[in-house]
Amino acid sequence: MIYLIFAYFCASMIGITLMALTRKNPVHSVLWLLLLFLHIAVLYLFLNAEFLAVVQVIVYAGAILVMFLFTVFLLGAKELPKGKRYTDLPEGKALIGLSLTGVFIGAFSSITTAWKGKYTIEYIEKIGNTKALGVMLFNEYPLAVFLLGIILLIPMIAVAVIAWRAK
Amino acid sequence: MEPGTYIPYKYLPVFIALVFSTIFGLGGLLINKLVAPRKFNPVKFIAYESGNLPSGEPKERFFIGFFLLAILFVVFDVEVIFLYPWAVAFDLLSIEGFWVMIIFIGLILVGYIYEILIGALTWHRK
Repeated sequence: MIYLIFAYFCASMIGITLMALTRKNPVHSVLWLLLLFLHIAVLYLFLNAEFLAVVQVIVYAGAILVMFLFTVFLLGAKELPKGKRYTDLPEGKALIGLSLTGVFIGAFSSITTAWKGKYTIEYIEKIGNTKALGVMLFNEYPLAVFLLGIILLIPMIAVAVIAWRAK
Repeated sequence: MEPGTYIPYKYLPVFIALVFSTIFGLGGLLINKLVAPRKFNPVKFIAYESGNLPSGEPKERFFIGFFLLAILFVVFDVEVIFLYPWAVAFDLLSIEGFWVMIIFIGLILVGYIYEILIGALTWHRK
């Protein structure tokens, strides 16, 4: 049963991606992308990453998609341009294909079936997914959180620059 | 527990709710398509412009303030998402874990105060 559900989500994700890529209207593409983000959230649930699944729904389906939609409105792209694009070049196609193959080889060669590390399923079940993540993130990687604060400061500078220029 | 055998059964109610909401959503559309009468005529497809005949496409001018608001929404959304595990794991945090969040909030607060001072959040002045 669980494999059937997993198979449905895998197959439908490929179909939804194709639908999002082939739509003529960019707004329809963004709406298909919303469905794709919800399916990815369920895929995170299959990895027992419950907090990540909720973050996927709140941040991606909630906030980032709204920004995509406003970008589409801002560019005024009613329909995609008909002319040649950089993805039509054979060099570009080869580069994208080769780099994707490289990523897939890297990902599939690093798959391990054994369970390593101190964060076992029992530990996470005992103290809870969100709490386990918080303890690990803030106790072991404080520098990463600090860097994230700086990364989040950069779009705020961009907002200030645009608002300053708009006057 | 072996990896690959663990199934989070505690999320079964969420899954059932998801299935039922999908059934209700799609079922409403399907029943509407089967039952509702549909009569089309050319006048129905014309955009309503206070009785006048429409004269071409509207000029698309998108106010930049919406886009700025969307960017700020993403920033504060991510901040709140990181605040949540910090609050849940508060009793197990080390002293660095406590202070790094204060610095994190401080960094974004500096940006927020700057936005207010520069007037990026005031949409129309008096």
